Amino acid sequence: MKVLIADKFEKEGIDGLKKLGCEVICNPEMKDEKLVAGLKELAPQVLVVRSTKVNGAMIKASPSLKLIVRAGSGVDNIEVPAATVAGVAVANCPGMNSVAVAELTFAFMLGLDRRLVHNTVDLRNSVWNKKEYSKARGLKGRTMGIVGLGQIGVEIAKRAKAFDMHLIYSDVITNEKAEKEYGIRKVAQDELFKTADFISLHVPLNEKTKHMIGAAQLAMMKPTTVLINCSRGGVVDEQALAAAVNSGKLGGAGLDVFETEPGANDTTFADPVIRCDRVYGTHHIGASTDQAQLAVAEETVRIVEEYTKTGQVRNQVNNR
Amino acid sequence: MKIVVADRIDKEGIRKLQDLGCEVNYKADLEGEELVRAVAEVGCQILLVRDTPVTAAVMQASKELSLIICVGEEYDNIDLQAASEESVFVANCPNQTAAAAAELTMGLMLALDRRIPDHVAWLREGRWARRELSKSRGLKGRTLGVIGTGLVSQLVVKRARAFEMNIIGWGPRLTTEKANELNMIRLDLPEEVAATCDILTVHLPYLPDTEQFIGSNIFEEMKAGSYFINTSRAEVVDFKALAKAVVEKGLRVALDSFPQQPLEAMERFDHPIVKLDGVVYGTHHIAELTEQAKQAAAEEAAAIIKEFLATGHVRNCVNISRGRVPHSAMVVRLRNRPGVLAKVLTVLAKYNINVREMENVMCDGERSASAQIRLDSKVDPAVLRELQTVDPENILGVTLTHPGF
Ligand SMILES: NC(=O)c1ccc[n+]([C@@H]2O[C@H](COP(=O)([O-])OP(=O)(O)OC[C@H]3O[C@@H](n4cnc5c(N)ncnc54)[C@H](O)[C@@H]3O)[C@@H](O)[C@H]2O)c1
Repeated sequence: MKVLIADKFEKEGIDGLKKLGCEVICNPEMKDEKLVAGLKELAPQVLVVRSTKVNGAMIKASPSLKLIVRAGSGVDNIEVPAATVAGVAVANCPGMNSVAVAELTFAFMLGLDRRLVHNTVDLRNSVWNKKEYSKARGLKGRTMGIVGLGQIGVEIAKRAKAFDMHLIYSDVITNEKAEKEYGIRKVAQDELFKTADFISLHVPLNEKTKHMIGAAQLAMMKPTTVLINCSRGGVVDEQALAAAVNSGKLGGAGLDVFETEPGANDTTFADPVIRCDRVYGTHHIGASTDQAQLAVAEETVRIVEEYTKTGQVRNQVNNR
Repeated sequence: MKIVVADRIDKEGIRKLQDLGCEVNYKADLEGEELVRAVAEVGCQILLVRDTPVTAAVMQASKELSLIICVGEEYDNIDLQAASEESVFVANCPNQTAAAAAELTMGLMLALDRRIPDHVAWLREGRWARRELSKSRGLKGRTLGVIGTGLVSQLVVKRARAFEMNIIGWGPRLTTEKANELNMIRLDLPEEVAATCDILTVHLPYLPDTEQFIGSNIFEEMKAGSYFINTSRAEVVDFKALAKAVVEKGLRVALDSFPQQPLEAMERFDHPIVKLDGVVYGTHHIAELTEQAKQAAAEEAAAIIKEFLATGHVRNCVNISRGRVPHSAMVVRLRNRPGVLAKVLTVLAKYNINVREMENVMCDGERSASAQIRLDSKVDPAVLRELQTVDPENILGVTLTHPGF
């Protein structure tokens, strides 16, 4: 089996594929026209990509191609219908970054409760202000509200339990397994907004969840509540959020995602929400840890292994 | 009972004190001379503080002052020697603030890994720097090293385990069995912990033996680029050696306290370590300070006072002499009448025998009692004979339970 990796990829993943007996060619520079040529020339059976675009022309260029693995969760960079027409399976590695996102969520919760950024900035500016920073509330005994108890939500529940928090969630489904394991209780969405001290959003972005948090929902929250969004930018109405934090109706917010995010090559960011004193932001790095990348690499190896041994495609997103 | 509260203490705790029937005088912002005056004016029996300095002058300001409670773990703001000299008990509220300290430790660990302060600062400057700031290791699967294995440390371990970290540790009293119980692996030396872990967190009390305990011996062992967190006292860390490690091996560091740091109020404070080129974050000695912790500590303070009022016993007392043991001890059985105990003490005084500790326990029926007396010197047969014969109607019997040497 010949595997072409047209992106940067973990050494552990490359080694794992070689161990399966695959011939592995790794070329992160192979993009666009070069990838069309590469696929024609090398004729691999498996193509692995991370963010490299895969279009119909590329898929057609390699008649031997049987499987495209997206080393990550979303498959937006792959023209899936073209693959389907060509009889090429497309698989992804979903859920491998759940832990990384859960960790970032806790970084926000603890960071906002203790105002860790303000603490550090003051110290760097030679200001000591213990009195100001002794106003944290703490996590123990507080209520953690998880909106969307999917793969990420469950990882959060597990950690919140170790912090001795009360756990509630709202979702369109009922997760009995998590309820049993973590003592988390399902409540109506509005009740969650009204009672939780920390609210974390982990729903997909779709018509139903677009601006799921707007002025009306923010008004239900307690003035001490901390809201975290590490899902997708559109889930929260940023203007309403900025107004709520600035007027003291919300304790603070942590945002990893924004309604309009800069592209890969942009170097500036002008979203006003980030300048609110009680908003902490990060650069859409929820999935960016070595641990998550390694988990994706391992899952990629598992997909190829199963395919070589059984012909079955794990996590296939298209039907041939 | 009159109480002066000289620091910001949780309201619920204060209400509990009022429920006990105490008069609470809330003087949260007083320090120095002003505190001396306030204590004198109120004439309080009990003083509650968190980190306000309590000097000999404060203690002498109220003749009736008999108990000082530090509403937190630390009590080195109290002049303990003066307190003991004036026979004022000092108590603290240990363990109540451990969860808060563990939370800060985890918060700093995650902040270091994701570089949260740098993200926020850059975004606020209008910069988008995803590529530079997206290199994190994640906590899952990493090895956390803990030095010191008290309650804070144990609560950190509990949380770190939920983050699926591997945990190794060393503590002066940590046994292999205890380590197993805590789901961690014990190593023989703190240096071994430093050399093996990806993240090192220190939870040592500040004692003469732990001063600058974490020095170049530890930092030299640590892996390049690993993380170091100290939410215990600054005094346990050698800051010069730490700064060297930040510069030379790119250690990422988070610190909750600093040498010569100011008290509560806002003032200028310069510590070069937070200005080093690298990832060094700091907080303002706030490990113990969350509402949850303050509430738990205030409740503990109220419980100490309740017990003190009921029994005179001071829970968590930190200035009881523990160095010496009594030389001898006796049990005296006596009639429950005024002046009988005084007769016993007069005999002891006549022979120059000092009473160290004593307790009088009433028997059923209230007709007689039993006094347990611990003494500082040997009891000669002559003393016993005199006690047995001085008032046989009221002093029913004397038994030497610990005859001495
Ligand atoms: N910040 C990042 O870098 C990053 C990384 C990975 C994932 N994400 C995002 O996080 C989100 C959650 O990911 P996941 O892996 O946990 O997904 P998941 O599919 O496992 O879980 C989503 C949960 O949301 C629930 N849900 C769907 N619609 C809902 C609604 N209208 N109301 C309430 N609940 C609803 C689902 O039933 C499910 O339980 C996704 O939006 C994903 O794109 C962000």
